[in-house]
Amino acid sequence: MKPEQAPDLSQLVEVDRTIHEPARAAILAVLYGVESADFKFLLETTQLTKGNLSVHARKLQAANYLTIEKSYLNNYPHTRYRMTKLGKSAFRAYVEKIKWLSKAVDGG
Amino acid sequence: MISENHNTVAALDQLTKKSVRSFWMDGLWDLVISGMMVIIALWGMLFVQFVAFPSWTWPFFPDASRSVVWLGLLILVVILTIFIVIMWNAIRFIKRRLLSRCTGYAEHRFFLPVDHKVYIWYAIIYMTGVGILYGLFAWLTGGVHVMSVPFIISPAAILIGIGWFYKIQRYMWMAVVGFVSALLLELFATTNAIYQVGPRNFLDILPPWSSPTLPCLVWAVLFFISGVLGLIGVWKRAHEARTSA
Repeated sequence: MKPEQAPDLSQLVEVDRTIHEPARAAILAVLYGVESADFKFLLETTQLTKGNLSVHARKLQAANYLTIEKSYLNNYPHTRYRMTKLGKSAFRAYVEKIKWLSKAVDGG
Repeated sequence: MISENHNTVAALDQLTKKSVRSFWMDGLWDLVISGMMVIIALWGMLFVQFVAFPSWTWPFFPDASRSVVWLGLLILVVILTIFIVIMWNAIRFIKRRLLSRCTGYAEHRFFLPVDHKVYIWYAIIYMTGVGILYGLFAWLTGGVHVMSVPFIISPAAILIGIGWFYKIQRYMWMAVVGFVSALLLELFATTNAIYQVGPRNFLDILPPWSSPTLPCLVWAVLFFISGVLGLIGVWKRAHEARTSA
């Protein structure tokens, strides 16, 4: 009978910390399903507050995970968010890592 | 830790699903599908007469062979492609200019990232349904109704797949109502045409062929109702948001 092996959790420290924050992960998860989305759509889908959403979106923009376009629509300011290729691959890698960690801890 | 990670992945998955789901929620695409169904119904009305009743077309198209007539499919594909491209742009405009004030605006990809399970569900329901219905029609009417059965089952299978995985309730009841009414109408409202005379209208069919017109009209009505319900839902949410603000 083999002795029970402790799972290798060294990859835990490699988790992308820019995404590993609930609000930022939520923003990327919503944008992952669409080409682009505006501020109101993100606000309604993620249920974040306006302040939280802008702050975390700017952090994701700084990491080049999304782009922010500001324009006018029907004479009102309109902000549009679009996930970059880097953002998409980083988000996919993040989800895969979290799933892997779950399985590793689970023993699967 | 374990449940936390499971929950994180599940929650992120739900959020992605929610953003994809918004594609259908306002009902605009249901109105487009309703229009598509009307186009297919009109095309079917003409096309099936040529395929099922070639002798009936004799005075007008004496040389029309069935193989040439099948080119009619190509015409339908072209018409539907033009319709979809126009509607895709029209819907983008309407969502951006009018609905964005109520729901926010998300630009969806042309090929929606739909969950793979939806395709699997669709394939299972469609293939099983087609098999059962072909058998049922052959047994009850003496022909398999080859042209109408796919149009009875296919929209129902799509609606169940999307409705189930993206939690759109109106699609679930639409699938049931549409399937049952299209099936019952196909069974009881159609009559066997006299071959030598030809069909008097689209309800006159030949059992081996039948026609997609009747099921398409049933689905067109249901998609139209669903589209209107979706738009009412948007209006209600906007009204609630205004009153709570």
